[in-house]
Amino acid sequence: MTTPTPSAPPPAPTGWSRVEQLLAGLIVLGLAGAGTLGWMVRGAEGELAGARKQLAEARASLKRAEASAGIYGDTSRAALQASEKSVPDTQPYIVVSIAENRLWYKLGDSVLFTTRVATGTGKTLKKPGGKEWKFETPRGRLKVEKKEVEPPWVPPDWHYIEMAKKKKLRIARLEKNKELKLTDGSVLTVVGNDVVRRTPTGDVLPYAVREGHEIVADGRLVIPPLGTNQRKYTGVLGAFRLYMGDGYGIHGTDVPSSIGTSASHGCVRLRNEDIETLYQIVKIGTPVFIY
Amino acid sequence: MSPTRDRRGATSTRTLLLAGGAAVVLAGNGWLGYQLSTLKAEAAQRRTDASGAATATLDAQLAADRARLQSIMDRVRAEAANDKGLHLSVEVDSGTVTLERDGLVLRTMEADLGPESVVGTAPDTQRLATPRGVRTVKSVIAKGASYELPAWLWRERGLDVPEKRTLRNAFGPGAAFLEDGTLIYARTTEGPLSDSLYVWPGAIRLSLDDLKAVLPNLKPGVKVYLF
Repeated sequence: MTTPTPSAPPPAPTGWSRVEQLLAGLIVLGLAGAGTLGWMVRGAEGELAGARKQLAEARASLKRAEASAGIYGDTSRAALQASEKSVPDTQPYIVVSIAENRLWYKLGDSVLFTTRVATGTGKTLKKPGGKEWKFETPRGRLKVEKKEVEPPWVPPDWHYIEMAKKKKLRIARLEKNKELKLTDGSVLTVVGNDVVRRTPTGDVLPYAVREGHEIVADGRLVIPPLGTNQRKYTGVLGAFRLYMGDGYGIHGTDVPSSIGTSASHGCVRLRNEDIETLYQIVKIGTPVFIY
Repeated sequence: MSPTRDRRGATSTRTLLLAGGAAVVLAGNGWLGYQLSTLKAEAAQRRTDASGAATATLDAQLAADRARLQSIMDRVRAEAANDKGLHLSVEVDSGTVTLERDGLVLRTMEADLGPESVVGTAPDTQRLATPRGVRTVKSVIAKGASYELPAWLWRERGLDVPEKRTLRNAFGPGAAFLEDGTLIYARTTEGPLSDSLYVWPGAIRLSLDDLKAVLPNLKPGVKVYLF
């Protein structure tokens, strides 16, 4: 038997030691890792550039949106300011509701005075020529053209036609510088500013008239000429009138029970104490809105 | 020097160089890693900022839309205030209706506005809602007039539709239709519109007194501003 001889030690490396090999591997791996990391860094840079762009766009959109919100806010304010200027808030005005028979004297949204009134009946009356009068208070904008104390009422033709119809009389129109012959031989004529009856004996008898007691002669209700004392009634319109033109006014009444109803021929009637108050506070030129 | 000593010296130098190279590579990797994390963090921050800005943009766009709508409504309101003719102004949110002229308020009224609703039977349905903007009165139904009421007026409330839908006095004191079909009316004393809790969809229901007061003024062509 032979004793085995120990094997010979491996030959000493002639190239790199283990440490060197390890270091070389580390360098190779490190370089590979660096390559990967570099690639990732480039990707992250791209990502960051994208995020920056996204942020810039978002900020620009925000700016635009804020600007547009601001612009609309500004235009809204401008529009409102323009509208505010158009309201004459220092100008009082009168409002009349026909449906409610009520009057308001207002300044802006404040009511300075309010009361019940009478407005037009809305009824119609046939004119002799075939047309008709409609007794309506006119809707729309009018204004106080003048203020009158103890205003006389000069009855329009419709008053006489209405009275004649009521009393079942015919109508006769007396004209200035003309005479109306009566069956008893006397005549109706105008002397000065009075309608008079001149009798066959030469007596001159002036007429005294009042509402409902017009001149009646030979079964005819006489329409006195304009400008005569017989075509002028006092007290009918109360003590004050705010005249609005076209024959329409805001005035008092001698029939207070009519207030609150549709009773007038188109004017706006108030109780005498109310028109007195209104007369004191309303100025000429005050707008009157009737609806 | 012996060759062994020379070999050892060369090995040591190479080892050192390799170690140095490895250190440099490692340091480079560390730096790149740091750069990467910094860039990632910055990108994440930018994205968060962008997301915040996008949310703020949406809010601002909503605010702009609201402001735009408000602006349109303010313009309608201003137009109404500047309209010298007789007209109605309707504040849709509050239900306040005013009769105005020359920029002055002649009458203030409280109205019930009908809800938005789809009425009729498919395919003949219609969406009714109180409009906003400027409209005009198209037609006026006179007091006591006969009018054929739509069948949905009964159906909407689960009521049987009567055979005869043309009713005399259908709108009581009268009513007005705007050009887009919006109705201005008052509650009647009888008929399908007498229910106090029911308001014609999209319509403007005034009190009886208010309607009586304003209806004679609502001629065709009269403007109605809704804002």
